[in-house]
Amino acid sequence: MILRHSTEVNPTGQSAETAQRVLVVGGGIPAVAAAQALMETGVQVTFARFRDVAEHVYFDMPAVHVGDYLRDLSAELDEVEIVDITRAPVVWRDHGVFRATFEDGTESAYDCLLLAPGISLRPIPLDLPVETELFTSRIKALPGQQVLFLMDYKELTHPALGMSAIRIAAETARNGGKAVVCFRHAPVLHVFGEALYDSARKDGVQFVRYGEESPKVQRLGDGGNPAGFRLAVSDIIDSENEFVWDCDRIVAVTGPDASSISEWARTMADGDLDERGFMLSDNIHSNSGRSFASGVFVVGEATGNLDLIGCMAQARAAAAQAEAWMRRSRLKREDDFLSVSTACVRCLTCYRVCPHSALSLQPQVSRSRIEPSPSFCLECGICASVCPSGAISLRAYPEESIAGLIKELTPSEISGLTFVFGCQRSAGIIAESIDMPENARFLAVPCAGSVSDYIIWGVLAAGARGVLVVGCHHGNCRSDSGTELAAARVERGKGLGVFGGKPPRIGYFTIAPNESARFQRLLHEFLGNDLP
Amino acid sequence: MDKPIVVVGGGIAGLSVAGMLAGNGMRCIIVEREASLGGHVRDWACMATDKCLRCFCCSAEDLVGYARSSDKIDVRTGWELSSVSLSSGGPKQAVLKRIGSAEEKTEEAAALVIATGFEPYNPGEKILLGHGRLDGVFTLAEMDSLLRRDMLSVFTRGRRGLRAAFFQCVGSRDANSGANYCSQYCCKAALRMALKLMHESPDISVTLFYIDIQLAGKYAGALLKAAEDKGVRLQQGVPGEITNSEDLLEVIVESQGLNRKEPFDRVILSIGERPSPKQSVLDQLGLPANEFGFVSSRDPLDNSRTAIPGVYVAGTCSGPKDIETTLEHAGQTAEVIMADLRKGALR
Ligand SMILES: Cc1cc2nc3c(=O)[nH]c(=O)nc-3n(C[C@H](O)[C@H](O)[C@H](O)COP(=O)(O)OP(=O)(O)OC[C@H]3O[C@@H](n4cnc5c(N)ncnc54)[C@H](O)[C@@H]3O)c2cc1C
Ligand code: SF4
Ligand code: SF4
Ligand code: SF4
Ligand code: SF4
Repeated sequence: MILRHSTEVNPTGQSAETAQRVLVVGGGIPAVAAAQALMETGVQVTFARFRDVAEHVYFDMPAVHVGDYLRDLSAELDEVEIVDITRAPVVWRDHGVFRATFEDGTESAYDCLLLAPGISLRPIPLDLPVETELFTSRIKALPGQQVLFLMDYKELTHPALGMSAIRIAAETARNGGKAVVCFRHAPVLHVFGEALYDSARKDGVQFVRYGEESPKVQRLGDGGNPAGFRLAVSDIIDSENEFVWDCDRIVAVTGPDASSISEWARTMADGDLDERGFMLSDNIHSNSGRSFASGVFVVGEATGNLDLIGCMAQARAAAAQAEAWMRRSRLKREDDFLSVSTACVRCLTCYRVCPHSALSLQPQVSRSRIEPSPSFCLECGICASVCPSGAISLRAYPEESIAGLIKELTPSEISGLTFVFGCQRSAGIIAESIDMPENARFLAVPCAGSVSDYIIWGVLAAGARGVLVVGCHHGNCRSDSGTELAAARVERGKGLGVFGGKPPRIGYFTIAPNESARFQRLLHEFLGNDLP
Repeated sequence: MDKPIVVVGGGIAGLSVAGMLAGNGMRCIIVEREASLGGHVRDWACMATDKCLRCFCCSAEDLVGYARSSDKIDVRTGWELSSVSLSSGGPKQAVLKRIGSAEEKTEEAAALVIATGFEPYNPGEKILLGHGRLDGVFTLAEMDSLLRRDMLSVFTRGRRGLRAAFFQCVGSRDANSGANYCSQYCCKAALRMALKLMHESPDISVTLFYIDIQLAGKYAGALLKAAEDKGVRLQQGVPGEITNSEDLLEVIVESQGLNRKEPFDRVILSIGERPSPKQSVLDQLGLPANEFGFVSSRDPLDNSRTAIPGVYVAGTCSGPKDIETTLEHAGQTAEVIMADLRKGALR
């Protein structure tokens, strides 16, 4: 459509003056909404658009038809460079920016990536008749027919999809057909959900609620045309009475299928998935759409979000978030808070553990080397805590401040003290508002995972009474594995036997910043103090 | 562009709008009538068991910390909006008033964000549920507040083998009391609370009476599975009345078309989100409310803008939300403000 915004590639990174550039990869409404939002806020946007992205499966609202809406929205992308693609571009990190090579061979640099990979719906359960249709936004009202909308079969239906199906059922009933909606849980997850349900009932849609026992659906006759089916289900509201109904069509309403998320998206986001396999759209660090992989944002159905209103908000929020992220990362690019010295022995440990993709490997003919990208770094200090040769220098790394703390104290003062190292995002916030007990010295660290074995044993060797490491709860570590790393170090340390004639007093627990009372209880327990 | 954006309400919605705008270089004033920031989430507890259950409640601490430390955000706790003068191109001036004194301050404003939040439903009017009258009946808000203060013993009173029941949709999906909508946070919050209680006192048994379970958003599917695996009894049914006999609560539940009686030791009411009591600010602006009393937005897919140019909404003041959707809505509000300022739509 328009020419590539930044075809020339500047090998030394960008000066602060050039406009921020974002590559949006994907298709469907979330991608278009995000591209448009970014454009509106003054960012240069390249939109690598998949034409045949998985079926759009949003909650289609009464007044909006997804297809029309998408067309209207796309028409507003006048300042966006649109590249139609059939294959995802190859993307890699280089000098603090992303480089992408497209299938036509062109290459460009970007400050951040926004992915909207789309998703497919869970397939129809195999024990339903083969003629069963899957509910998608392509299914329109089926006038003059008897249609069964089957929800929550084997697995819960996504509420947004369920509400969409109720709307189509109502239209079917209004247009001279008959619709039965069978569910375990009526989907009402919107302010107008109840109204939709009530009006569908008025339109003549019949709702049947089943319990533990799944409905039975059978094909009638021997497979001749037209197909016919018989539903038999016990209605738990109607005292378990069996409801039997013959119908022309069955439409199964499912939900998003995490296993259908494309490989390119998983790779670009460094496999940042939640327990069900959806891409992390939000984490508890109040970042919409941000993934652990620095500079990569994910929105839309691949995050498990099938709700049109929700997807729009998510996409626009991620656009604002991405812009703020780029501002911060540009400032960092000029800063020299992170470096790797010549002491590096190229063991690549840091490269493997960095949770935010801030260390890249520069392959060279003679010797490969580790290249730090300050623009991607979150200053967690995990790399420095694992480096065997002390080659990484990071301004926020707590080793020096701990050494300073110890130096200020006399040996007799140290011997009575327990050193508490707490993550600045959780324990650090609590520590600011409480009185620390006399026999404890608190130090906020950038991540519990930054407290190295060297620090733990250094403090004990200086004669401290004990060491306590406090991290964020598992699953809420901003650096993904920092909490686990800290737990493992402390566990291993406990097993390391005798220290100064006694077993080492080292401990570990996790906390959230809103658990001040629990923190104080656990702290006093460890110290052996009475709770004040 | 150097005029600040005035954000009314310092809950997570207002904090998040201001945080994102500040992160993009814009100046904001947060006007919060309470003495502290964070809104309702300030009282909610962490639900982590052996891992984070993604209740999102600790995001408030992050947001408060950011607002307090950003030099682009001016925090006015203990203040409220007194009046706003509007022009065709948006708000011009906002008059702020210190609560409990006559002190007033006039601020030029580039835009105005309404983020005044919701009110938790007070179950007092449901006399049959016995809240406030029967000892063992708690609301989800009270449970949160106890856990936050590490005082679960007030709930258990040292008893072992407690039988606890959750009643869902108390004050939500309730046409009789003018709230015929789903509050959207409470199915997930109750499941998390059930898991948390079972983690803290493993000998407790939990029954959850629901109308329909609504699960969407991060971690939602995993929550239901975890609850089922842990043996939470999920029972379709609408509780009608609680009476106490000796040391236990008799609960009458209409389930599967029949009224049944079942004994429990504790009952937790999952109360809904209600609109904030009518605010003079909205009246003065002439901003309409929807049929349930929440602030109306321009249209469902453009739901951060209001009918008045330059006046925006964020968070639960525009409809019930959990924290995750509140934060997304607030992010969207920040984005459309940035877009409107850039387009010169606000003068
Ligand atoms: C019992 C309970 C438990 C919950 N638990 C969870 C949970 O675990 N997870 C989850 O995701 N969600 C939960 N929620 C929902 C969550 O509380 C809301 O999503 C969230 O609080 C919404 O934030 P808000 O900023 O929109 O509103 P609020 O938190 O209500 O904040 C609004 C702020 O505006 C201020 N304000 C109001 N009017 C004015 C005025 N005129 N001038 C100045 N300031 C004003 C108020 O003082 C307040 O600080 C729970 C809700 C309840 C009731
Ligand atoms: S400090 Fe953390 S984010 Fe930065 S390079 Fe090291 S491991 Fe990566
Ligand atoms: S951990 Fe240290 S020694 Fe190993 S590659 Fe990284 S900087 Fe080099
Ligand atoms: S998101 Fe909730 S459960 Fe997780 S750490 Fe924060 S407060 Fe605790
Ligand atoms: S979220 Fe669940 S408990 Fe809350 S109102 Fe909706 S259905 Fe009822």
